[in-house]
Amino acid sequence: MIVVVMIGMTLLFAYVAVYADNYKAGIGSSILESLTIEDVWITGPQTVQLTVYNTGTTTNLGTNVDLTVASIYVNGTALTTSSSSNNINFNEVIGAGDHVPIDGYRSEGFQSGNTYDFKIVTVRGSNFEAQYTYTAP
Amino acid sequence: MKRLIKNRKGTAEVIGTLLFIVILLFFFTNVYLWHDAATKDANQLFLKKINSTFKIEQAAGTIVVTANGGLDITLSRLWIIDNTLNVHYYANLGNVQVAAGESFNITFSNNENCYNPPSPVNVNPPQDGSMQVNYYPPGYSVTCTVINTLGIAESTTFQP
Repeated sequence: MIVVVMIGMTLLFAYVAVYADNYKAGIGSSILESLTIEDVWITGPQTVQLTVYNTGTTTNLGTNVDLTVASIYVNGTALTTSSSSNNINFNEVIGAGDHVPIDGYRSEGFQSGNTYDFKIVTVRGSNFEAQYTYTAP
Repeated sequence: MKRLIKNRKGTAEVIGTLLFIVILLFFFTNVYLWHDAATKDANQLFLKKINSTFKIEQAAGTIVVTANGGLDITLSRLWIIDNTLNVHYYANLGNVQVAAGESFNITFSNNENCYNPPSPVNVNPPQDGSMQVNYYPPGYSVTCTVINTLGIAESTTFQP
């Protein structure tokens, strides 16, 4: 019985150790995510290109924190990845220190003079927001 | 007492309970200590951002970046936003350092061939607190935005 208990506890300990590591690498790291929307470029009547910058670097945080953009909202409505798709899951990996452009499509379009609230949500659940007032050329 | 010590019944349950408590302690101390360190790192970054402010302004044909916070800043990228053509250009500033209280000049090219450059716009290596971006400013206003490595952005309107 003692042997059975020892084996069981060893397995439980291994599971807990792996679970703790996964927590730290996953949702636990959401407090370390740091992203800036550095440019919003409305490239067409319904298309936008956001350039984001992952500032979660070793210099800033002591460790590199890569992140994955899950979805992007404009005034509370999700952007889609293209005009021909209803997919709102961008699944764009942003490495630490990287500047990455992300293209999105908004079926409602963009009107000149309006201010839009862009919100980026990561897979770990962090939110990053920026406001942009569109001036048509 | 002797009978109690010699009685081996329930030994496995006692060992199992002790190990379970050890595993619980391992889990909570491990996660708590890590979370504490991670929160401290995030707060440090927040403090760095508060103390790494800078301003940018136009002086004749030059963009002057002044680190007016308590810490040195590192410049990451310059965005040039031409709303007339609806084109956004960027130039990588090569993580140039600006000491606290000091200024750094960004100048533009005089070469008209650089009017509509490819993005990223080429830059000349920094020299004597100045760097030239190979962009020829148009005859109308454009918006210039500088981003530092902490993600802080400052903008100014560049007049011809």
